[in-house]
Amino acid sequence: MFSRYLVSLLLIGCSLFAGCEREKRAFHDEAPAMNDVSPTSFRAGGTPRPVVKNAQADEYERNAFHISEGKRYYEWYNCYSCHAAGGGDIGPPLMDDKWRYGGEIEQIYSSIVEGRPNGMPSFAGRIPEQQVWEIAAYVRSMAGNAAKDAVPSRGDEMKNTKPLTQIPHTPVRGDPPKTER
Amino acid sequence: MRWEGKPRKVVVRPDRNGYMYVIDRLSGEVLAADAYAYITASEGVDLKTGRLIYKPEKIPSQGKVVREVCPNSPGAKDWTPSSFSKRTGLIYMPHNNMCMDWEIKPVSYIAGTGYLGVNARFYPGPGDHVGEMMAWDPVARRKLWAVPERWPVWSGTAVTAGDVVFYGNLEGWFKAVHARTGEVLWQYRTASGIIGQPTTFRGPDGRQYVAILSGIGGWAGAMVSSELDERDPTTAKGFGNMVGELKKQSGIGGMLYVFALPR
Amino acid sequence: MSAHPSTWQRACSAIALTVLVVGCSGRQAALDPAGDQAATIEILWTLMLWMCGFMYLLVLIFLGHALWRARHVLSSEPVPHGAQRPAERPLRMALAGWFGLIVGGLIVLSLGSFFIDRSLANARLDNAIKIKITAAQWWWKVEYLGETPAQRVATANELRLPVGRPALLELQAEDVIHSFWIPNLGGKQDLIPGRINSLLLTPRREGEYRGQCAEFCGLQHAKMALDATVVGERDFAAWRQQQLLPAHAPSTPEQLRGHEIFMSGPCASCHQIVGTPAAGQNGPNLTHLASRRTIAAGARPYSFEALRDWLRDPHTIKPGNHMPQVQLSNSDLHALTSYLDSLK
Repeated sequence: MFSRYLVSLLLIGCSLFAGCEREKRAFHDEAPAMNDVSPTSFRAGGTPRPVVKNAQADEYERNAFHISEGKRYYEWYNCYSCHAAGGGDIGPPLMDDKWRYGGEIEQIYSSIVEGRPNGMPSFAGRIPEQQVWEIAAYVRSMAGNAAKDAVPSRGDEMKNTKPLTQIPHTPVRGDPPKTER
Repeated sequence: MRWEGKPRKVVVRPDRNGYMYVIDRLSGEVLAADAYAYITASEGVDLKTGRLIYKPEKIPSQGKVVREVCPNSPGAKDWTPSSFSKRTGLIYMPHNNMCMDWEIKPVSYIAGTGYLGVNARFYPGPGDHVGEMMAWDPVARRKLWAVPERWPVWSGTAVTAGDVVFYGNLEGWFKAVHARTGEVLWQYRTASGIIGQPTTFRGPDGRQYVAILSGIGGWAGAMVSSELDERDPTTAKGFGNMVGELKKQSGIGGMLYVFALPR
Repeated sequence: MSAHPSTWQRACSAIALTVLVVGCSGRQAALDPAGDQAATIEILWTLMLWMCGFMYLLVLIFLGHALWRARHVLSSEPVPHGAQRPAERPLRMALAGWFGLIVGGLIVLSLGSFFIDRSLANARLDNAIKIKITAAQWWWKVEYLGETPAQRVATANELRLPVGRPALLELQAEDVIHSFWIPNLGGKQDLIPGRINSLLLTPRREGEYRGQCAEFCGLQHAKMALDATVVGERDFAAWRQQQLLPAHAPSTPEQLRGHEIFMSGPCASCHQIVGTPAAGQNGPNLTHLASRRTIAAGARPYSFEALRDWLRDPHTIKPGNHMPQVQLSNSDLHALTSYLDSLK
C-alpha cells in the first residue's frame, strides 16, 4: 500500500517537473548590441580580424520561435526575390556552404545590416535589430546549421531537399582562419 | 507572303505564349495564331480582337498553387531570335517545351529589393525533349521538322544561302542542320553552353566564316554560371527544379569560336 | 432556511442570468439579428430550442413517472412468470407514441434545417457590393472592389456596410485557417489558405457591431476582432469617397518628423499609406488609421494614448503578434504617433 502511494507520488512529481523545460519566446526587442563592423566587410588598411562570437547571438539559432519568425520576415522583406528559398536567383545561394562574407550568424547579421557589393542592400534601420537576428538564424537553418529541435521537419515552401531536421550540417567555408569564442 | 492565294504584307511572330501570330502589317489584323507548342494556359486566340482566351482555372490567384501551366514563364520561346530563309520559305525557331506549377504571394514594394511575389517550379512538358529547334512553314502554318534537345534551346539561329541552319545548345554543342530536311550535318562541342547568336560573315580573305560565343548563362543557364543550388526548386524563379543536371554537362566559359567554311 | 437568498445563491443566479442574457442583445449577439442571414439562422435556432426543449421536458416527466412507478412496483407483490402487469399496455402505447414523436421531431428539424440552408444559399445577389477579406495572423485585410482597380478601397479590421444592400464577401486567408463571424449579421464562414470562400450579408438595421475570428489561429486568436458598422446608403457613399482619397499630408513640424521616421524606418516596409512611398503589404493599410474605432483588430479602442502604447511596444497589448518592437526615443515616439493620429 505504501509502495503504491510512493510510486504514484513519484509519477505525479515527474509529470509536474517535466513541464518546466520550456523554450523562451522573446517578443520584446532583446537583441545583442553589435556596434562593431564585421571583420569580413571591406575595410581599408590593417589585417583581417577574427570573428568574435557572441553567446547571446548563438541562442537565436537554437530557438524555434526565432527561426520561425525569421522565416516569416525572410518573406516579408523580399529576400525571396533575390535568394529564392535558399537556392539563389540574382543573389547567391544561402543553403550551400560557400560564403563570400562569412557564414557565422554574426557575419550574416553584418551582411544584412551593412549590405554587400553587387546588389545586397543595407537593411540598417529598415529591419529592427531583433528581426535581423531572426532572419540570420533562419538563413543558418537553411544549410543545416541550426539546432535540430528548433527547425520544423517540413517547411511550407516547395523543396527538393530532405526534411530540415535531416539536412546534414555543412561547415562554413571561406572564413578568416581564427575564431575566438 | 501569300495569304489565301493573294500576296499580303504580313508580320510573322513566334510569340512567347506558344502561338505563331501572322499579322497584317498594314492594318494590324490578326490573320492566324496557331499553337506551335504544348499549351494549357489558354484556349486560343480570338482572331477578331487578337486577344488571348484564358482558361479560368489557370488564372493565378493569391495563395493558390496553379499546376501544369504550359508554357511556363520563360515562354514557349524566350527572347532567342529565330531566322527566316527566303530560299526554303521556313522559319527556324529555337524554343522550349516546359510547364510549371506556381503560386502568387503577397509582396510589399520595398525600394531597392526585388518585387517578385511568385514561387514557381518548372518541369519538362510532354515528350522527351525539353527544347527543340523547329522549322515552321508560315504559309502552310505547320511544323515541318524539329531537332529535339535535352535542354531548353537558349541560342539564336542563323540560316545561310547554302541551306544550312546554325544554332547551339546548352551543353555546348554547336550544330549545323540541313535547312530542308533537318538532318544534323555537323556539330562541334564547345567548352561551355551556348546562349549566343551565330553570325556568319565574309572575311577579308573572301572566305565565309561562322562565329559563335560560347559561355553558359541566361535564365536557363544561371544555375551553372551563378553556381546556384538545385536543392531549392524555386531557384532562378523555377529552373532549380529541372536544370540541376546541367551543372555536370557544362562548365562556365566565355570564348568566341570562329569557324571557316571550306572553300 | 433563511428568507433572504444567501450570497452563494445570489452569485449563482447572477451568473445564470448573465449567461442567459449575453446572447440576447448587444453588439456581438447572435440572437439579436440585424441582418437577413442572422434572422434566418435565428428562426432555425428558435425552432430547435422549442422542439428540443419540449422533448427534454417530456424526458424529465417520463423519468419522474418512472421513478414514482418504480417505488410503487417495488412495494407490491412479484408478478408470476409470463403474466403482464396492468401498467404494461399503456406503457407500450406510450413508448410507441414517443418513438413517433422522436421521428416526427427529427423530420421537422431536418426539413427546417434544409430549407433554411437553401434559402441562405439562394439569397438575392443583385446590386451586391463586393468586398474581399483576407485574414492574416491576427488582423483582417478588407478591400472594397470597385468597377476598376482605381476604385479599390483598402482598409483593415473594419467593415462598413450600407443598410439594405447585400454585401458579397470573398474570403481568403494568408497563413492559417481563420473564421469570419459577425453574429448580428450572419453565420460563420472559414477562411482557408489556397481557397476562396464566400459569404453574403444583408444588413437591415443601422448600428455598430463586433465580429470575431471563430477558428483558433494562434497566439492572438482571442484579439482578432472586426468592427462592423452599418450606415445609410448616403453615409456609406461619403465614407467610400473619403477612403479613396490619399493620406493627409503632415501639417505640423512634429507630424513631419513623424512622417520621416515612418518612411525611413522599418514601418514603410510592412505598411502602406496611399500617397506616400510606403507600400508594404505585410501589415494593415494605415491610410486612414485615425478614422477607425479600434486599433490592433479590436484590442484597444482608438485613442492617441492607445496608439502610442502600441507603437512603444506592440507586445504589451498583443504579445506574440508579428509586428516587431522598434526602439524609439520618447520624442520620436510622440512624433510618430502625432503623424499617424493625423491620418483621418
